Amino acid sequence: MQIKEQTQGAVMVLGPEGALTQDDAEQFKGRLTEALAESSGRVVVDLSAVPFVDSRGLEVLVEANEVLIDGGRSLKLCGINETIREVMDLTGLALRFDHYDDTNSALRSFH
Amino acid sequence: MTDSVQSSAGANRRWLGPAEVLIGPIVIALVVAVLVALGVMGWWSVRAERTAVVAARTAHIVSTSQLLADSVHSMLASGDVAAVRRLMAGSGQQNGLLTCRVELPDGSIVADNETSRITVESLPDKWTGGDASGEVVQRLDENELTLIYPIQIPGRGVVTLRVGASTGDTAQVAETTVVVVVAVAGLTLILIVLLYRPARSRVVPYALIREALLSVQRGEVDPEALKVSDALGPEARVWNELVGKQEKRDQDQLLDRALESAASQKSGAGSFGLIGDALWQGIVWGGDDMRVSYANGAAAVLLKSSREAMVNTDAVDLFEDEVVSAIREVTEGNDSRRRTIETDQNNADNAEALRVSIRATGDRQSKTVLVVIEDITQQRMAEQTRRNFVDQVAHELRTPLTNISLNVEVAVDDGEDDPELRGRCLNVINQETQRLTQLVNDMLSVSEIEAGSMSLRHDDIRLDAVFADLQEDFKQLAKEKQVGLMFDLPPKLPVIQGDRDKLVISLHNLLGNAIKYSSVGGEVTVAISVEDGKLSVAFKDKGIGIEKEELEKVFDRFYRANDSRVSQITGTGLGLPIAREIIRRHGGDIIASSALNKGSTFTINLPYKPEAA
Repeated sequence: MQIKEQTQGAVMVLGPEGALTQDDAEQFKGRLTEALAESSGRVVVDLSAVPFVDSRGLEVLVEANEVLIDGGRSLKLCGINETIREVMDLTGLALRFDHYDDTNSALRSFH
Repeated sequence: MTDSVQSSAGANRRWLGPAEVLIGPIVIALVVAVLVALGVMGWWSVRAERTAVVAARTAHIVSTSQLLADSVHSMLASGDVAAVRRLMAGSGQQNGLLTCRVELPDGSIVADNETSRITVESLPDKWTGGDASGEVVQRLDENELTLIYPIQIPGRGVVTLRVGASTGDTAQVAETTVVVVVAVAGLTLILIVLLYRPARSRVVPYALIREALLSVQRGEVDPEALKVSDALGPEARVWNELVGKQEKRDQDQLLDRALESAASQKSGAGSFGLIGDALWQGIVWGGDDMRVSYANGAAAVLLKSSREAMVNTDAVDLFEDEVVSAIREVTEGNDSRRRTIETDQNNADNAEALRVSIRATGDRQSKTVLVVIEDITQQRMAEQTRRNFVDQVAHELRTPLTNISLNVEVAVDDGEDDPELRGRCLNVINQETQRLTQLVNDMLSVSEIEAGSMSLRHDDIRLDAVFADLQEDFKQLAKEKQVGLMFDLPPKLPVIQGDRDKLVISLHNLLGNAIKYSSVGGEVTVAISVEDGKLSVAFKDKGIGIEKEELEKVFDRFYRANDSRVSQITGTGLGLPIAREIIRRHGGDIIASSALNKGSTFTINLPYKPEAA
């Protein structure tokens, strides 16, 4: 799985490309954990190139979110498509994350 | 070709669907069983029928032969041979006998149903030989029954009555039975075919459910893949309900695990702890002994520690000297005002800025301190960027404006009598106006990108026309700078989808830079390649090049390389960030590679959907 990375000021934007499932989810978890540590939690996950998230992918996002929640923050997601939104709504996880339409909106939330 | 393969695969799926796989062997076994049963039944019927027919015919022939024997005895006893011959001929015809003959022991024929076979004219007076035992011999060969009666003629000797008859036409019996069996088999098969469709429709849900269960065994976990169409009937609906319930259970378990994980990570600080952990600002609370009594999760993250490690730790070990002094002043003095200190924490990985607010709480007897910590790194960076932006804009605007102002002054003061001077001044004013326009356009594009309001049109872009225009647009500039401009185009360029104007801006920015940073007599090559839905455009120059450390920074707004040669060349520092953002919005990216003093290559990689053939 390709993970596009951009540093915008003090914020790191991670953009996984492809379905966030099983092994790919594990790979993304590794990079996300590193990014959270490197940038003290200032991370935006851009899901605009992710068509589908399975239960493992959701777990990775939830686990990262739990780490951030401990620090009074939550994972900032942007570019979520309708399929992923439905999965999050169904599982009741949608409200646990911060959602933004695009990367710039997510970046502004750090100001 | 592909279509036909797919359609034939589709046909296979239709004819050998899950229902066929499930009931196919049963139907085939049923058909075979019916055919075998009917075959055995037919064979048994033919056999029984034949036996019955043979038995009845044999009984008839035996009784007829007995009568004939009695008649022959009495007729020959009275010497009436002619009567015997009439009897043989008549009986043979009436009873359908094959043979009906009276013979002497020497084999001469006295009477026969075929008169031509008679070999003696009249009966001899006396003869010897023959079977005097009087036992009747009965023989059955194939379908022919032969009866031999020895008859004692008083005073003369023994004659033999030979009666041969067919036991009946059993072949016809078999033919009738076979026709009946075949008809019954045919009707049964038609019935099976007629019943197949309704049976199949009843079986389809079970077959699909069975297939779903087998796919679970193979490791399928996606609930959507296990569901079947509700339209297949109540069984399908119940199955889908079960799958849905299982899916819900899995999701609930996932949620429970997440909640458990969250709960296990939280300290047992009661509702205050929960509130503290919900804040994104770090909170540290301590007494006048400078030791920490409480720290929330955010404080632990921001101070790179853990809540457990922070509790009872001296503030000196947690904060910078400036903050420690402020905390000490608050705890020791009577000042209850809030003190705010902004600190920079520079470490090897990154630079972070924190805003620490210190305020006294509690009363004079038991003074406590509340420290609120905010992460202002991004704000700092944004402010710095904004400041740079304003400085750069002011600088970039001032230069052309100064030039315009000076040239207007010269043109007004001295140009009235010197048309050539006036022309030069107007030319400079024109160039600077164009530069200002370019600068304002670039700033507007950056502003659009920053605000997230940049929208893309979806035009059909004919790349051959775009590159032809690009070549034309830069021909003059390249000539003026004495730079060789080469276009390496493939024979055929695709039509792609995208925002034509914005993509042209990107191409202009990259080619403009390549020419701008080339030395006189240099060379710029634009190499385009198209491969598997990916367009690649490389702008290669042999100019001043960029240092490795600065390669990524050139995409930052207003960034100008730290090279004296660059500062001599006019530029806004906006061209590359705008070009990269436009290409990224189209799903691609720009990659830079360079070697100082040897030249740079900026490559656009852009995916596109190939046109349907």
